[in-house]
Amino acid sequence: MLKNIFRKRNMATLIILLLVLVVISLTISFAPLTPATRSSLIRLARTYFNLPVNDYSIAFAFFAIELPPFIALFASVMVATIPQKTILYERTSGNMEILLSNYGNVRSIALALMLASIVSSLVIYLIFTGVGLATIFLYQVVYHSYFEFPRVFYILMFLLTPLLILLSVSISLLLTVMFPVFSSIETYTLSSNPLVIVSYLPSLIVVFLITLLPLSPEDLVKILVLPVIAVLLLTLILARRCMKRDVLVRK
Amino acid sequence: MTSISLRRASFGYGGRIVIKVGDLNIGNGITCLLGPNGAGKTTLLRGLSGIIEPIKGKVLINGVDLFGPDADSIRKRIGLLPENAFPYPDMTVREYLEYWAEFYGVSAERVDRTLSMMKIAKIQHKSGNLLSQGQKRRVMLARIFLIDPAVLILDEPTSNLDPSISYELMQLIKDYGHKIPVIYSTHHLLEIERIFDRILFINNGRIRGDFRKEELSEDIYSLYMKTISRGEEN
Repeated sequence: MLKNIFRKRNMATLIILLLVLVVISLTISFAPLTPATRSSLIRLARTYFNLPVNDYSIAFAFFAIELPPFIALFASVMVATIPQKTILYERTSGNMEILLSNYGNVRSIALALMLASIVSSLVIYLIFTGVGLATIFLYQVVYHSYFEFPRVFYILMFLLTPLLILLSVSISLLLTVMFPVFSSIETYTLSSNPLVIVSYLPSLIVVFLITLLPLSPEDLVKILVLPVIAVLLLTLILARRCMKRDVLVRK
Repeated sequence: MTSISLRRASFGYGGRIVIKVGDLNIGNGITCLLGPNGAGKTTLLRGLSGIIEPIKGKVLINGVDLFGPDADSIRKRIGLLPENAFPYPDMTVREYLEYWAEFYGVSAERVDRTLSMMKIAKIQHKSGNLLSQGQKRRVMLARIFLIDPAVLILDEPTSNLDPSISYELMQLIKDYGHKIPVIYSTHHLLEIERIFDRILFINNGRIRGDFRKEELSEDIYSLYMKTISRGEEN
């Protein structure tokens, strides 16, 4: 698995992701800000990031505080495609038939799919977070400044984001196992497959709630923990029961 | 000697029967399944290879129920080639074979042997997505020969293969047919004429004819046309 993660192509993707984040952080300085947002960003830049107040430091503050929801959103969409992509690849390549022929217990295939999807999702989360933090570190080096993040940043980055990613992949897993034929629906990108959209929709709604409504991330985490655990458990229980041999190979 | 037996078996999807077989015993030799599109050949192959569970009845290989508790070891010796199957696009040929070798618990030397046996050693470092249709087919066949199959189940094995490779493959299948049951599904009468030992004509979800080579008094084509048209009348 590690060999696959550190392939040249994946490393190139990481570098591109890093560059994209740097470019996004730079272009934010041209974005129009409301006076309230601007004043809170100035406070962030001054109090936590020890930066002189100018357009670039305000842009950086904006980037740093929006990084966790940005990661949560993109990673949620990405991980929702994993179970679908796996089933689609196995079905279209005929390898699903070989697996089903060689395994008597279809539940072991469901378990493998669940493990692979959840582990891959966590790896994606770690990579996104790592690249995001590396971008922030780059700014530290450029500004010769020591950054101290507000508590909300840690809650968003290390609690809410993994929760949303887990929620997205759990829903996707459950739906994929119950309705594998949906993976064969041809859409322009896999992320626009109706089943994938349904999977990342809850995460999308939560990200909107964070950015649009005055809900504190602490409260959101408290609200979300139980439902996410419940969905994950439900997936672990139901996915193994719902997987059916004939449904997996039916055209 | 390996044998595959179906006991009052029906196969289908979502509880709907696509093919009703009843009792059938297949022993060593090449058994060809022949029939028009939609006749139920692929569903029967899926049933025989343990991909789908029978809606009714049982599938036994050497007396072991494929859906029973002791089926794991016999299942790993089913050499299946599904129609239109291809190796994973992100893996090289060698990586793909090593992946399956690990699954089957066979040595790396076996991968080397299989690569040379199937004449794909030259393309072993090529990615799956860069292979031609014929090369993909050969890699999928190579995967089967990583193990000592107890039974070969082949769905259109020679499609997209060039004539010389196709000829060599038919020889290989013929050799295996002396040792184990080979079940071979195809649309091409000419292709099987040289190698079959037994032929099953399938149409409208039923086996319409079951002939052994030595029993045939007329050519396969006219027999096929007669049997299939009889199936359509029913």
